[in-house]
Amino acid sequence: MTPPSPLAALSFGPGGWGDELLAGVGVTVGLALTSLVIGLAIGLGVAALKNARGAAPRALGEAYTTVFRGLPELLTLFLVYYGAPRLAGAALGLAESLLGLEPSGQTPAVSAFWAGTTALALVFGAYASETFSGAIRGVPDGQREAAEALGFSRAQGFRLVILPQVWRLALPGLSANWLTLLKDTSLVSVIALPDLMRQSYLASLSTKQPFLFYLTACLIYLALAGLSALVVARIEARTSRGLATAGR
Amino acid sequence: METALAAASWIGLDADLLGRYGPNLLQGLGVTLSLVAIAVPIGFMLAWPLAIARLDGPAPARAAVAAFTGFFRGTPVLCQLFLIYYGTGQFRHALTDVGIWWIFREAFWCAAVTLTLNTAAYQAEIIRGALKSVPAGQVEAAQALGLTRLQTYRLVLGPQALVLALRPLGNELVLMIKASSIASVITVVDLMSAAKRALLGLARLRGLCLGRDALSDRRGDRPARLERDGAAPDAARGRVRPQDSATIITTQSSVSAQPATSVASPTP
Repeated sequence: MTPPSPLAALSFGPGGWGDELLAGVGVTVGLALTSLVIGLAIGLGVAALKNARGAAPRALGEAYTTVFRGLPELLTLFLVYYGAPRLAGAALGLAESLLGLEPSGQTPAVSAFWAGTTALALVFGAYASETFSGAIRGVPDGQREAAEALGFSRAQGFRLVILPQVWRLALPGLSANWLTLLKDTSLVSVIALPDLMRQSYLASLSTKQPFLFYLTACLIYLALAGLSALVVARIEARTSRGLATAGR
Repeated sequence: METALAAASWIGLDADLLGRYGPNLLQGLGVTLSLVAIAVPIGFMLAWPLAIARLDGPAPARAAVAAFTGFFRGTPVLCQLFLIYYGTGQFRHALTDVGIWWIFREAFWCAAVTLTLNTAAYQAEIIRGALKSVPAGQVEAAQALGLTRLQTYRLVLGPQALVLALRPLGNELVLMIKASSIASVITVVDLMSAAKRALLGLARLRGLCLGRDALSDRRGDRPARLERDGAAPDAARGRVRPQDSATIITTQSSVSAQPATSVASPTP
């Protein structure tokens, strides 16, 4: 029953858990990238709110950031996973009663993947909005004035002049946010999404080698972080190309 | 007020329910606070020698500290917690011999150890950064006064670094309070899996729910999975870690394969 070598449990194929772990890495990376895209959009929107002229949108933006940076990620995940169906069910009930229909009492199902993505994107958006609004403030005021002098509207100026420069300034902060996001994906294993963490859990249950599998999982997370550092360095080189000559 | 309560109960928030479980929440708050109260101060005390070793120690010490902080900052807390809580079970006998198994047996102490090591790594990096930003002239002045290296850190660099580190350390405290919520997982998961296995029929269905694994033709896995489901009665009794049921299962199955003398006696 005992495998010939303790590492045999990590092999690929029917006897080992290597392929399951790899599939788990795929889920983890897919989840992180999906959350990244949605979270960047949220972050940019909230940052725009925070830099808006009116007091109400600014307060809204600040409230969003305070809530989702203050809540533990696990709690946000549970709120979305267990709370969203209820909320959607209540909304459905309200819509039905407004339309004069018979209440169906249905609660829409929420898949673990989308619940996880939503929760992670909400949290990432809160952190990214801080990074973005810092970067927006980092773009010199002269740029805004120049855009105005050229007859750009406020929105045009933001989109065409400010935003392209924001990316470069926001990149270091965003890459730190991304590493946090990558680590936070491990939380979705709690709602039974078969990510790297969950697969390691199943593997350790089945093989009775928890130390081996959790250590492997930790090392894979480290490797993913190292890989992202390489990618970020490439992007950084790209966004700041031409800058050295322009600045000096 | 009435409409607010009605709206709250309509989306599933119930004042009665909150009244009934409120005390439990308060008790949970106590656990959260004691985890943080243990982890953060001990982590702070560990962080100073770590930071100084990283800056000023011999090359092996620098590398060791870099590996330690890199590991604990680069991996998820959940993974670290599972490594310490479930992973140490693999070395149960060795740990019992050393006499520290009682720490790793309890979910609470495992969480405390994990959070302490984690925050020690983060605080060490904060303190290292702060120590590095103290001007070099301060070290030279300390040397000119004839202070030893230890005295320099204790009397000159330490106090100045602490001022710089205070704000980031405050952030770390907040992050720690949030991170302590992860501790719930090592009991929640077990409670859930115990409940699932108590329903014996459900245990079989669970394989199907996992879908991909159960449907793909992977005969090699089957015995292990069935064995795991066989552990249902143990799991139903209470919190059972995989390795606890594992000891029983492996000893049972190894009876036929190995001579009886090599079978480790199952612990009661």
